[in-house]
Amino acid sequence: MKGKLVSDVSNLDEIIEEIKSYKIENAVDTVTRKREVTYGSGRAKQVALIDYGTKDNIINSLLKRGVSVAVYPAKTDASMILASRPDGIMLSNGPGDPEDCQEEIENLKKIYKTNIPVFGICLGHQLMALANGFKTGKLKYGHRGANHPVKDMETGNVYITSQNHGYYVLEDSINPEIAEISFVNLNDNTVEGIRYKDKNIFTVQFHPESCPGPEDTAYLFDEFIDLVKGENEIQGKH
Amino acid sequence: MRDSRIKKVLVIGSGPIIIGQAAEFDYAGTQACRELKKEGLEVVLINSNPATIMTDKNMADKIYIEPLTVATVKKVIEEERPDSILPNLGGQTGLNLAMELAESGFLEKYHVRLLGTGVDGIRNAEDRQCFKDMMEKIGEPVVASKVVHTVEDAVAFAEEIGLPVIIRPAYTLGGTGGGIAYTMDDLVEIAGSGIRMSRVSEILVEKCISGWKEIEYEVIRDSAGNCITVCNMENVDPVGIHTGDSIVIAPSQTLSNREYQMLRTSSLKIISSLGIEGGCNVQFALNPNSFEYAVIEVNPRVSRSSALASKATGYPIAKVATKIAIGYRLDEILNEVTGKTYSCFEPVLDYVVVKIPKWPFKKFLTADKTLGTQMKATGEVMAIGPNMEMALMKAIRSLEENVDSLILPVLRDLTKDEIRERLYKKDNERIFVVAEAIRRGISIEEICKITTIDKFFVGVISHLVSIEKELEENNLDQELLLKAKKYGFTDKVISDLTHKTEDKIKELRAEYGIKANFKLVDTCSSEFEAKTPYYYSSYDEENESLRTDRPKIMVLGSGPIRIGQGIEFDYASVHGVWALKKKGYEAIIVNNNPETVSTDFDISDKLYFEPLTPEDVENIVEVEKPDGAIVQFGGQTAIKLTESLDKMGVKIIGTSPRNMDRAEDREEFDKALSKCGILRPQGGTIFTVQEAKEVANRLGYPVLVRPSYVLGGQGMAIAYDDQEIEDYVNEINKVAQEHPILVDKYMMGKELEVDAICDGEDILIPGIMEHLERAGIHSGDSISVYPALHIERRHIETIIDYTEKIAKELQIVGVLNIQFIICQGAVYIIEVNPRSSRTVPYISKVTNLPMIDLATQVMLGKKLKDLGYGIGLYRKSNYVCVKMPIFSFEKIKNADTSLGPEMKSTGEVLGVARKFSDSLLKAFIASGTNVSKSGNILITVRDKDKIEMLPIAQKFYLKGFGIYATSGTAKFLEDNGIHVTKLDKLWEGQNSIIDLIENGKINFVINTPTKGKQANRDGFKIRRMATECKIPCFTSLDTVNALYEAIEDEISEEDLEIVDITEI
Repeated sequence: MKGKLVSDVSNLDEIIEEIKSYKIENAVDTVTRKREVTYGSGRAKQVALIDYGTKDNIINSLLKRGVSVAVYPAKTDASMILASRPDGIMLSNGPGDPEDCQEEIENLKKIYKTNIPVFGICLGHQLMALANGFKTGKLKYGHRGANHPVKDMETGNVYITSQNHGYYVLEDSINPEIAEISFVNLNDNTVEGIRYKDKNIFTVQFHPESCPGPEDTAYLFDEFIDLVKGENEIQGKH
Repeated sequence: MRDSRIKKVLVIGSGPIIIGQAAEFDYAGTQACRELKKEGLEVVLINSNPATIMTDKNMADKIYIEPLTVATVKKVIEEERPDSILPNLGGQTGLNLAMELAESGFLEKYHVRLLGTGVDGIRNAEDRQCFKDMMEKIGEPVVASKVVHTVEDAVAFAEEIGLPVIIRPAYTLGGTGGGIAYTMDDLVEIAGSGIRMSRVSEILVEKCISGWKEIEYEVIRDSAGNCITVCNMENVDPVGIHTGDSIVIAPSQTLSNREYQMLRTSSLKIISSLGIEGGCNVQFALNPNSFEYAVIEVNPRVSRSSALASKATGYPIAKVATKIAIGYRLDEILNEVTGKTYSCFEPVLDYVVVKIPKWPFKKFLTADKTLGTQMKATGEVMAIGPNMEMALMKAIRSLEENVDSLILPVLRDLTKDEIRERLYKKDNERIFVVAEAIRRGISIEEICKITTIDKFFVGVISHLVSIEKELEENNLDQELLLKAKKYGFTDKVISDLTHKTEDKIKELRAEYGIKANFKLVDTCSSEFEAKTPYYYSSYDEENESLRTDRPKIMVLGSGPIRIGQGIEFDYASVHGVWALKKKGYEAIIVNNNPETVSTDFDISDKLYFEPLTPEDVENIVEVEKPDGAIVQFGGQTAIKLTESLDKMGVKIIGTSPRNMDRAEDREEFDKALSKCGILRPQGGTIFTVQEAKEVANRLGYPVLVRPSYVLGGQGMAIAYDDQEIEDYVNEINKVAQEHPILVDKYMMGKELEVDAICDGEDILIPGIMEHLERAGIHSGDSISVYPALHIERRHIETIIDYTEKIAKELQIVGVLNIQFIICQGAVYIIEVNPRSSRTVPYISKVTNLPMIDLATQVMLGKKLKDLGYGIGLYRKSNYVCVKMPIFSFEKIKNADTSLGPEMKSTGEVLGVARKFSDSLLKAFIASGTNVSKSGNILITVRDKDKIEMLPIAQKFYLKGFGIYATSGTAKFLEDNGIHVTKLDKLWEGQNSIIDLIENGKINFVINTPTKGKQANRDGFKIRRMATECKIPCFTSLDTVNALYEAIEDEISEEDLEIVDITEI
């Protein structure tokens, strides 16, 4: 639902027209970094982080685990990222309708084809889904807050997570040949995480980096880093 | 999924209400029983507390109101053969019992499974050393500490880590016997008493970290390992004051996300490592200046804090813990608030909750009011508001201490320096002292430095003080009035500060359109649609409480648990609500006690968690426009609201306000009695000491002095001379009295008590109860026996006759309670209470007559004749039931333990058997009295009791007891042929009285107090010493006679037959 605060309603039709036609466009472009930046350079393993509007704590969560992080603007061409031979690729959170991000999605199709481990959060999760032909939709209210329970479909365990999203991946659109649902939201059963088959790729809708919010799912970063270091094939939780 | 092996569950209750273990376990136990029944399981319950809702017939299939001892629980298990036992909802008592049964191998032998957390988990949480080891293993910081069993070891360790240190005894509740030692002398004393109090003679000596923030997390975990935190809470008072004695706020207010998550993660780690299955409470100390923290304690069970957390969030912890215990996972348990989502989530609060403890210091004038690691509060109030200021103001007025704001008048007389000095003292008036300090211009920085209270909280108090000042100095315009209301000022407080009348403030509010609205407690901050009918008031714009068009009746609750007004009144309120619902009414309850069943959102149709003051109740009345209100069930708290409700135009259901007044007003009551030809002790009403002396001298001493309109005999005393009259009347008049003080001739006779129902035409008396102690000892502190055994037939007839006459004369519709006295062959009425009483739950259970249900029906217009229970005196039970008072004297340092007209007990137990002596024995055992059949007695009585004491001493002497006595008593006994060991020194030497008591050589102490209430007398010291050493000390010879009767036959606990009260 859209609205506008006005002090004068004499031109009501105009206002309504303006509200109706209002659309957030190119939201990612307004928040992504303008140029590439590397944090903790010189470390043995390097993660490329595609910045769709990343929270600092995603960068911190990676740095804390001993890798260097090269942050790329959202529309950086995949070939350029791949040319730096990253050990893993992290897809960040970000604003707006994922379907608006066509260029980003095209780049992810290329990344999907490689064997590099990929971990996506929030918008990054949605974009990887779209890159594989799945669909996204809009929730009535969205999931907001630091108290959302998600269920790990493999173990049945439930974790409390931080969430802030209005769009989500449609369950029925997920091609079981390509991927499986790894997490669902316990409140409304919507998709909260996807694991891609025969790939080292997993994405979540919620925020394991939290801040603010519970640290229950911070272990996902450990799993990702294990993959980056080549120490583990993807598997269930610890 | 539910574990299908579970079919029959034994639930252990928590026993009598004592300080540290109060109504919260009735709330938890009731939720547990209801949930188990709903699941179709067979429920067997044992609890010695007859005042509880959980021991009601519809709560369990088999109910044993029996002593909570290992021997008796074993008998219940042998008789009932349950397949499992639910131990974690009955407080420390239930948990300890289950542990003893498990550790001794008894449970295994009878194939009884312990539901919920396993034995190892409980031990790892409860046993100090195991807990410490476990924390070290998982890398969670604990405070430097050591478990010791002797005072010497305690001293050695304290020398190693440095003073001050905290002493915490193992396996005690409410921190009994603990304390902070600042000097080595303190340490020797506290460590000694701690070791005595501990079930396993064990204490923990711990580095003192007072001044750190005290934070609690309520956590729940299921058998699959899923865990969530229900909420966290922050103590306004930093570490050093027991959390039960602290002002607590939920959610925490001064933590950053980092601190919050750090402690949350730690809680989850701890609960997982302990393998908790159910609810658990983790307490932390957090260094306010760094991210350093330490785990203080874990309770592997539902606790007082979890009751508070449940009410603060709307998340039913006890219910969920029960479901987990029988096998469900958190993601399988529906959240009843939304009806759609599951219990595996963390509640969000869009409001603030404040809890303030209710202390019994008005009852114990000599008591030490300092707050420390030993909990002293009997109960608590909770308030909800959109900001902390409002919640705090609401909580203060909910306490019913005649204080409605942060202004405590007595502090006004102190100088600025005296106020500064008071800031160092940690006592029950601390928050008012902080406010006064701000008023006097002491800086916030200095206050924080002295008190170590966080600046945020001092800031909240300072904000309230600044609003006080604005009200005093500025014109009361719309903006200012709205501001005052939004921060919790009542019209009365505003009127005092602005020197306008309360009516004028009300008028202004109407003019400005300022009125209270109600908000929903929904666990999710409106994220999902909620179904909970659970509300609190605010001065925001939107009202979320929608009135229905069903006929509705409001039930006024009884507020915090205090001595004199306990859980019995919650029992009545809840039963009233149930009866109303059954008759098709919408039942609305108003109450502010987070420990109770009545404040569970699924009891009434609508729950208003609000202070029970006229203004707060009127706000609800304006929204709900109820068809009537019931004030008979909520004790004196509800009765006090009668006049206001009447003025608001709310119909009082049942006995009319006018007739209630006739029972309370001295002159009118006298008139009513004489009209019926009923005798009462002579007396008069007075306001001043002079008048009192005149009346007393006219009647002749001794006389009974008491204020009107009180419950539990507050301020009541027997005066023997003019000096005492002066003392007592002055004490009463410390609080301005709206009503006259009563002075009556004291009559030494047999007391009897009747609860009855009257429909205006007929009466129904479930039974007549007899008090074993003579008049002069408050009925709530007397041992009460049903049916009355020592009363002549003709007196019974008279009692029935008088009950009928006075009930009809006062046009009682509903319940009433009458106290009788039989003196020199004549029956007198001492008082009539036109309301539910302390004995209603117990008499309802033992006679199988649902008093409150019937009374409610009568109040709604039904006639007793049509209700199927007959009229007059109900048929007598085949069982003898003995209700025995329970005291919490050991928790309140320097409280006088002698019994008198002012009630002092906090709870009660019941003994049920076919024979009187068996019932007595059961009650004594249930009360925790060590009923030795041999040993030594120390006797020290005042002169006028010596003759009466002689046959008692003879009985014990002949039974083989050794008799010890102080000089006067000893001489008298020797002269009468009893061999006595004479003791003359109180303190010094090998055979001093104190030494004998401390070394456990004395089994009972008999001490009748000399007149006066001074704490420096020897008798007082002996009583305190006995209490602290857990040695029974009797101050009434009648109680001693009862004890003798109980132990006369060589019957042991094992010989006593257990009684399922559903079979009575």
